Amino acid sequence: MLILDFMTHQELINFIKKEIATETGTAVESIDANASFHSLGLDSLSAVLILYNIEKEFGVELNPLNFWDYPTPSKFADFILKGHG
Amino acid sequence: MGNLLWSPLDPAHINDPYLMYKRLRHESPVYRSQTGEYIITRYADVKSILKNTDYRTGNRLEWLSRGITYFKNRDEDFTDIYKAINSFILFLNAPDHGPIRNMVVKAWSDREVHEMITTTADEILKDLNGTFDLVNDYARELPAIVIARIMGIPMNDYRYLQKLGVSMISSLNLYHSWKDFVELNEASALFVKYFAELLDAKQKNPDRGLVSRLLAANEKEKLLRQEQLISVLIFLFVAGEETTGASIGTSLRNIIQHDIKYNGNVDELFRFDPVVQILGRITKTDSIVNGVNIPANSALTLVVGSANRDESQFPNPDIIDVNRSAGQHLSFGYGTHFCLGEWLGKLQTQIAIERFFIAFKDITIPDQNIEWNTNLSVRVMKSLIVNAKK
Repeated sequence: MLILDFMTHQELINFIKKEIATETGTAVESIDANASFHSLGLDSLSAVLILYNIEKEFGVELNPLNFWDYPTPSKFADFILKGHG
Repeated sequence: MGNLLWSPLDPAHINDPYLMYKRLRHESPVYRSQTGEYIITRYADVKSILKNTDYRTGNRLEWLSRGITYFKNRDEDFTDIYKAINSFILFLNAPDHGPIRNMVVKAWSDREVHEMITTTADEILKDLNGTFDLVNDYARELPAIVIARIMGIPMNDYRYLQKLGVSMISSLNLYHSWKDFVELNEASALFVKYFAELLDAKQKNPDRGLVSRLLAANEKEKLLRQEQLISVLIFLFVAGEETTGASIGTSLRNIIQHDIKYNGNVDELFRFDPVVQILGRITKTDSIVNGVNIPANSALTLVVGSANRDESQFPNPDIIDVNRSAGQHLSFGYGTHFCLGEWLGKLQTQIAIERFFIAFKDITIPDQNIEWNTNLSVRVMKSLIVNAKK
């Protein structure tokens, strides 16, 4: 959580983008922060590991629905910062 | 999240999901959720889907199986989950479902358990007085002992299995996290190991318990492979103790909290606050539900807890009315998958309530902030501290 305190919205988006890139096998640069997770090729299974890696990295607790409640990299980063900052 | 009609993991909604359901019933009774499944909340729709075999069951089995394959490519092995849940009866479809279910029902012929339940309840109650945890000291204890006795599980083992059961029942959750996969896999491996050894023991020394009876029936009918039989046994144990424990706890809490003059109408308690709030189905073909087009192979989330509070079926649904004829509730499902342990769940809840109020008077709940488990599929209080006098 310490890390989150010093993190900007953009840095968190970059982390999420990197995770998506790993999971879907696409290039980080091609990921639009305002595109929906669905359109970026994610589904309920590929979301599981991304969510887990975010939890581990930042010491936050997220539930599987949070991802789809805030379904773009930008919105999700916003949610994490506001909810857990 | 205020704009979302469906937020079933919000702790406030697990504590009281009924306002969320009401909004859905009125504003969007067939609601496309953020994850793409359809949330069905009206009584008539839920019932007609449960009745219709054009919808298949097994949402979670299918999804978890896909997950096992998916994570195998990430070098994680969760196959024990499949070994444990492959033949959970509520996940099975035709043609497998009918014969397996029939074999269990036939083998389970000994239903003279009234006295055994009463004695067990009294034994537990004897040691309780003053301040205690109604959920863990009584409500969950009774059905775990009862199902162990019925199945022929040694009394030394039921607590161990009950602990694993908490992780096992999460296989029915609507959504799973990575941690859920890990925990479920661990519990699955231990459950499979336990019942494989128990089957060995019963093979050598058969008794009158349900495990021995099923073993004998299966040897005759040659219906299930060992792996499937083990899965059926895990299902019977977990379904037998987790759901019943929850229903005893929730029912007693409602009687105490709402100061109900209970008259034996256990159906009204099951209607008002069902343990299994949600059942799943999948469309086989393009379908229309309440005017909404749903494509083939879509997941449907049938909200039993909402159907039971549908005002067009049950007038003043948010009130416990012990004079109501509530038998039409959907708390045990409906149709071909109607809960095969319904008689036992009802009987135990009934006896558990009766014996509790014979044993105690002046019962109060000092702290109304109740902590529930983290999902709506099987809604269980983690504990409930009460004060009571003998």
